Amino acid sequence: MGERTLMKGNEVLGEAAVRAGCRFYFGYPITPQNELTAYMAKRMDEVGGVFLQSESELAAINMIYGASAAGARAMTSSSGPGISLMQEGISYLAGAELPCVIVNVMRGGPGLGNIAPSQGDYFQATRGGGHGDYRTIVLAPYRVQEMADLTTLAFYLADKYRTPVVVLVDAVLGQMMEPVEFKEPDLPPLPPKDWAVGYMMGRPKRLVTSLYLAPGALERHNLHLKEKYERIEREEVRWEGVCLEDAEVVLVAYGTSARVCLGAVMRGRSEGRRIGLLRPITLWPFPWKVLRKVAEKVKAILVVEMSLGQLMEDVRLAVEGRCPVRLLGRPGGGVPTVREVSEKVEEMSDEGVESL
Amino acid sequence: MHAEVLVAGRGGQGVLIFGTVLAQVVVREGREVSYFPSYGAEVRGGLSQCSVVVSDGEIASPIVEEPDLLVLMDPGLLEKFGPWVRPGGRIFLDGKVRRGLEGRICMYVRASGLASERGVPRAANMVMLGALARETGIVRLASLEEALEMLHEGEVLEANRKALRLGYETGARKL
Repeated sequence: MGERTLMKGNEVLGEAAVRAGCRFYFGYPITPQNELTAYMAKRMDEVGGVFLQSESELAAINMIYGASAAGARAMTSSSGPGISLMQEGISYLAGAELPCVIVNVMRGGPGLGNIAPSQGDYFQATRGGGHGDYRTIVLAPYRVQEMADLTTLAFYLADKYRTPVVVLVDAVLGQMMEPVEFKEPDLPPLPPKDWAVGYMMGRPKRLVTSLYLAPGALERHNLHLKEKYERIEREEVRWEGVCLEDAEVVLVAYGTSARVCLGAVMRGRSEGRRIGLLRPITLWPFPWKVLRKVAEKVKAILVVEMSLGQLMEDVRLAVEGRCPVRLLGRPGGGVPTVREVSEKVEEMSDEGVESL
Repeated sequence: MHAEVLVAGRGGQGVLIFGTVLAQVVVREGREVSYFPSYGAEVRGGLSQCSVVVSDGEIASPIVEEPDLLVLMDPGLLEKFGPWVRPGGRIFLDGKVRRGLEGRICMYVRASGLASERGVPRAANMVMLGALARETGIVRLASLEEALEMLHEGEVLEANRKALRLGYETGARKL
C-alpha cells in the first residue's frame, strides 16, 4: 500500500479485481487484452482463486453466471468480437440480477476488424447489448490509476445493485503503462447476498433465474428492473469537468480520447482560448443533467470519440438543441491527436457559432 | 520539466525495453510518466516504437505526436520520424546520417558499435539510454542503475549495466 508501481493497464485491471476479492476469472484470449488473461492465470493461482481459460467466450460468460449465482465475485474480459459473443449471457445475468464485472478492451470493428484502439463498442455497452429491456452500469477510466479505482468500484456497484458492470476501455489504456497505487477502498458495507444459491442447510430453497412465464410476471420483473435503473441514474452518475467555468467551447470525451482532449484544453488555455472538457466517467448512467447545464452556457460542444457519433448521440439527447454539437470521430483504429482537436476548435471558433 | 520522447527501431533492437526502463526510472524518481508501445503482431526486423512522456505535472495524451526527443535505434528511420520532432528538438541516432534535418539537432551515439566491441551487442539500447541521460539529464544515472536491478539479474544485469555506463561515459556527438 502507498507505493507507486509502473504497471500495464491490462494488468492493473486484474490486480484491482483480485484486491476487490474477485476469486473467479473465466475468459478466452483476444488482443488487445491478453495481458489481463495472462495476469489472472498467474495471480489466481497465488491467491487460491479459480482461473479457467474457457473453450469460448460463450462458455466464459455462462461460467460467470454460475459463480455469481453462488455468491462469488467473478470477472471476465475480452474485446469486441468476444464481447459480442457474450451478449446472450450478459442479458441472462441482467435478467437474473447477478452481479459481475465484464471488461471490454475495445479494438477496431465491425467484424474481426483489427487490434488497434477503438471506442466503437459504445452503443453495445451503454444500450444493454443483448436482448431484452435492460441496462448495465458502464465505467470508463482514462488513466491507469483510474482503471484500478474504477475496477474496485465496479465490483462494489455490481453487488450493491445486483447487476453486471462493464469496465469499458480502449486498447491504448490496456497497453500503456503508468504509475499506479492500489488504495484501500473506502466504501459503505454491502447487504448480505441472501439470494445466492448453494448450501441449503437450514434455509428454504432459492432460485436464480431470468425466466418468468406466469402471466404478468415478466412485466412486473421489468418494472422492478426499471426502478433499479432509475435509482442508479439518480445516485451513480460520475463525471469530471476541466476548465468549465468560463468555457465557450466544451469538449466531451471519455477514455483515451479524453486524454487527448485534456492536452487540447491545456494547449488552448495557454493560447488564451476559452476551452473546457466534460468527461463522463459513467457512460451509463450518462451525465445528462450536467451536460444540459453546460449546453445552456457555452457556444458549442465538440464530441471527440474513436467511433463515428455514438457518444455524440447521448450528448445530443442531453443537449436537446440548446447549443450546436459537432463531432470529431476517428474510427477503425484511428486515434485523434491534440493537434486535430485544437484545429477543430479553432475552426469552430473562427466560423462563429451561428453557422454551426 | 516536461519531455515527450519517441523511441523507434526495428524489432529486436530493444526499443520497448528502452522505453520500459526509462519509464521505470521516472517512477523511481517520483515523477509522472506514461508509456505506450506499439503492440500486436510484432516480428523481428519489423517496425517497433514507443511513446514515453516524462513530466513533473499531470500528463494529458500518452501518445507522442511531436516529440521533444526522438531516439532512433535504426538511423534509416530518420526520414519517417524526423519531421515529427518539434522544431529545436533533438534526435539521437545509432549511426551517422549524411544529411541532418533542418531546425532539429541530430546527435550521434555509437551505440551498437560500442556495445559490440565490449561484448554486449544486444545491449546497444542501454548504451543509447545512457547517452540520452548524459546529454539531456532526463533521468539520473543512479536511478537508471536501480531500475535495471529491478528488471534483470545475473549476467543480463551485468551486461546491461556495463552498456548503460558505457553510454553515459561516452555521450553523444552533434552531427
